[in-house]
Amino acid sequence: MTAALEDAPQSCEDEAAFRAMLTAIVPSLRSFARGMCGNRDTADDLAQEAIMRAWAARGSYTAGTNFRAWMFMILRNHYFSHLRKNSRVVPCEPELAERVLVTGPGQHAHIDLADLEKALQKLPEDQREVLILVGANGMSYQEAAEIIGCAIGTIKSRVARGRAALAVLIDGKAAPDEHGQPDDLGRDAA
Amino acid sequence: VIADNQVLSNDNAGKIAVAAPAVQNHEQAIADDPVTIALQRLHHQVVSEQLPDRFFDLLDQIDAKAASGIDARSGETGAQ
Repeated sequence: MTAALEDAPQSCEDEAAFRAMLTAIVPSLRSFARGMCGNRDTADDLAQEAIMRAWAARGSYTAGTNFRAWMFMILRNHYFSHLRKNSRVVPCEPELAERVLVTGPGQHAHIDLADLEKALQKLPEDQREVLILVGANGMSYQEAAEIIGCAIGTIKSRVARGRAALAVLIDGKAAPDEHGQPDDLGRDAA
Repeated sequence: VIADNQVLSNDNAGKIAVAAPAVQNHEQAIADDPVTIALQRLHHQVVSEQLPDRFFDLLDQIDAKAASGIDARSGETGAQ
């Protein structure tokens, strides 16, 4: 932990309400952080640090605006700072991102969560985060776009690619394309 | 034929345009996707965990800090 629980330059008018919102969002923060880093202790460190930073910056939060998006932005920024500092090698498989696959209904009827966690960690960061925000947390594309700071269309394409790549990683093979034909994993990304 | 979830709008030239509900359809497709359902299970598993003590300790620190801030402001008000 590096941030201190310092007083914000402008204190929130209703600190009790702010504290209540912080308390309520802790589980979601832990879940997002766990999905991003894949490690329970590191995730809790990240979530804890985000809470401390949020409290210190509570004066910059505008009451009535999207608190969840504000908190997730803090956590996300801290996560990427943490990545840069630790020079983590991300075991992503970028070629998967280039394969446009469609997951048919009824596939992956039961996905083992341990397999899912491992597969998530193999995705590129940008796909992983949108899958966690939209897929796991149930956020709208608009809210995810607000958190990440990109266009809704970008979120949409990342979700689609992430889902497809995740399906491939979980199955160890390609899902059928839109015509029901098995996709050729060996083909050129182009 | 206009689908229920399509939106009609008039542009400046008076032409009627149909806005494709691509985002809504896509979000619905995501919601029904087995991979998404598994992601939601993973999410629920984590949020259902009991919070580690360190978070309660942190919230206690925040409470203490908030209380001291309120006390300090009350003191200032009282001094005036």
